[in-house]
Amino acid sequence: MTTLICAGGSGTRVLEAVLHLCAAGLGPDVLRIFVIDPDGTNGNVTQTKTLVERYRACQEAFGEDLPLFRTKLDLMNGPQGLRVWNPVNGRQQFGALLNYQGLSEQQKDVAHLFFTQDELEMEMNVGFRGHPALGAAALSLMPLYKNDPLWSQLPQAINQEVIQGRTEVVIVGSVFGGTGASAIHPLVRYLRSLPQTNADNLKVAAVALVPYFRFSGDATAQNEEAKAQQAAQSEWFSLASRSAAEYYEHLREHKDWELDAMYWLGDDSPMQVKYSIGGPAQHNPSHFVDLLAGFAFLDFLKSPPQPGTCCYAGPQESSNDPGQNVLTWGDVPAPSDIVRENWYKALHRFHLVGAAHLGFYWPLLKDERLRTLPYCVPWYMDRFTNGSKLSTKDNQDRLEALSLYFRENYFPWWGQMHAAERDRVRLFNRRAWFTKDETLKIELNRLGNLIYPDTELHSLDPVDALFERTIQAGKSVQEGKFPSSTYLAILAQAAQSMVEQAARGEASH
Amino acid sequence: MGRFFFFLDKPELIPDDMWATFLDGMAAMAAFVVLATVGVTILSYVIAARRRKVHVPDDLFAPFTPMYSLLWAIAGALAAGVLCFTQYLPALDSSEGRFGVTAQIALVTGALCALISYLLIAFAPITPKKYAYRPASFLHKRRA
Repeated sequence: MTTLICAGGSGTRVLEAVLHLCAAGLGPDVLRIFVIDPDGTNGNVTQTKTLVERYRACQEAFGEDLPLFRTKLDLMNGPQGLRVWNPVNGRQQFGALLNYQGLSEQQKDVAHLFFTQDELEMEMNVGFRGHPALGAAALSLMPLYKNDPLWSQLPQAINQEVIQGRTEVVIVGSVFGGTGASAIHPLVRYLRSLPQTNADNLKVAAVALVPYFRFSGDATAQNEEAKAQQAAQSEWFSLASRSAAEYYEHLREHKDWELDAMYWLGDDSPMQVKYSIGGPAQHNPSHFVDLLAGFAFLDFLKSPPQPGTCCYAGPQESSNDPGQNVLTWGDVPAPSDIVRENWYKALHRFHLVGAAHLGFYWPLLKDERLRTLPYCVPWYMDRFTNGSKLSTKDNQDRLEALSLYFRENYFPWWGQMHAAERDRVRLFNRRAWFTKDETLKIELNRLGNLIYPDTELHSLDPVDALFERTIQAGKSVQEGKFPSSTYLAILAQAAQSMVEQAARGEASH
Repeated sequence: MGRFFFFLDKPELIPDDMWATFLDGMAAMAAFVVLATVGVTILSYVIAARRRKVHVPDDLFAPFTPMYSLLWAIAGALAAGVLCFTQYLPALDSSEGRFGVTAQIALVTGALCALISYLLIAFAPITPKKYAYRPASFLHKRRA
């Protein structure tokens, strides 16, 4: 089993990326996930919780028969979906966590060496606010949390899994903020202490994100001065990253390195995001570094590097536009070119499935004429008119869940990443699903141009080519658990055929 | 071959042997016209069906216009009628029954053109698979 621990706001956004990659069929069979975030109410966590629920709905509907959505999620019996563990009590001040009032005067002086008075009095309701010292102190108390349902289940599960074989744990978070920076190393130490036997079967990796965004000045200025002082200051991000890098280098030099692999990911042209101190207003857009982190996670599962390896990834400088970094498919961290090519094809296929479903097949399946004239759509006639009904409410609900996932999660997520004003992410062609006025609309005439760049000539012929392939696929795909999964299997097989053809460089017609 | 038009009534003034020779000629002509018309119909159908694309869901429910190729049967009927009408007098030295015979030969030839073309369209594998059920949709309406 694979476990993904996402620490802080950046870690949570990486979880979104991982879920989208799993939806495309790139994830492991089962994935255990949870989030560590003292600010469980922040907008990104709420969004990710929704995504997890939608993913699970799709997984139950389609995952058993298809490579798409095949990764089952283990939420560790989370009562309300995704588990978000808070290492602190949100109603207390940081000083109370350390029992500051109960310390002797001498101990208080020592505490003051590490924490300012403001930090000791900082309310814990919206996280560590970019103060890793606070998080490190809170997370170093981890052995005290053994009665917490999460931390009692995880050791049991890992101890069982290392007996059965290899088990991987990946911790992901930023090293320039509060929670991620403070969580990675204490968690690694804790995990290494867990296995009682077969400790070598436990593989632990960390994905450390270095600055890839900064807060816009105007937004920071609008906040009150006191809050701004406490807030994560983007001016400190580089310094914090450097300290983190020096710390991990120190661990390596002193043979105190307990990681099987560490991935460093970032971008030296940071994106500007609106500052928010936390809570629901903290809703940062997706960024390609989140995606790179998702790929780093897959890379570790696919082919773990030599023990103690450090990997670095980020965008490359554009040859056409010096000084600007651009991300292309070649920058995706992968164990080999063949694996990268397979990931590319899987994502292209999933993108094509999503675009075709939203833009053509879902409207078709909702069309009343299909009930009276089913012979107009041969695969529908062959597969869904003899007992196996796609029009039942259950199946319509499953297809609606799929549509909702593509419409409200998948395409907006990719759209944010490919934001037009930046044009730095050169993976997919954003114009294929976003209009110039930023509304989601599948442009069917770009179905054959889903990959960057946007070409000048567009045609609807790929829609026809895909439809022809659905006829072929309709004759060969096996019956799924539900009619709705048979439908998605037909569409996925047809899309696969189109992608293979595109990879060979042939035109659709 | 003249037996092909066995149902035609011979005008009283026309000798039997002349009538038989005429019917032989008409049967050969009709066979040629049917063959040519079916060929043109099928060719026209195949081109139209292959050109037809599915770009939006509405395209799937739109009338299946390649079937209009069957209208070539009218041209076949007209051709047979004209040929019959022009050869009637030289072959039989009489114009008795000319209009009736011409009309019947044109009708039968046209019907044959349409029938053979339709059977080929419906059951020979010349229809693109995406429209496989459109030519004989009445068969599948019951199935649906």
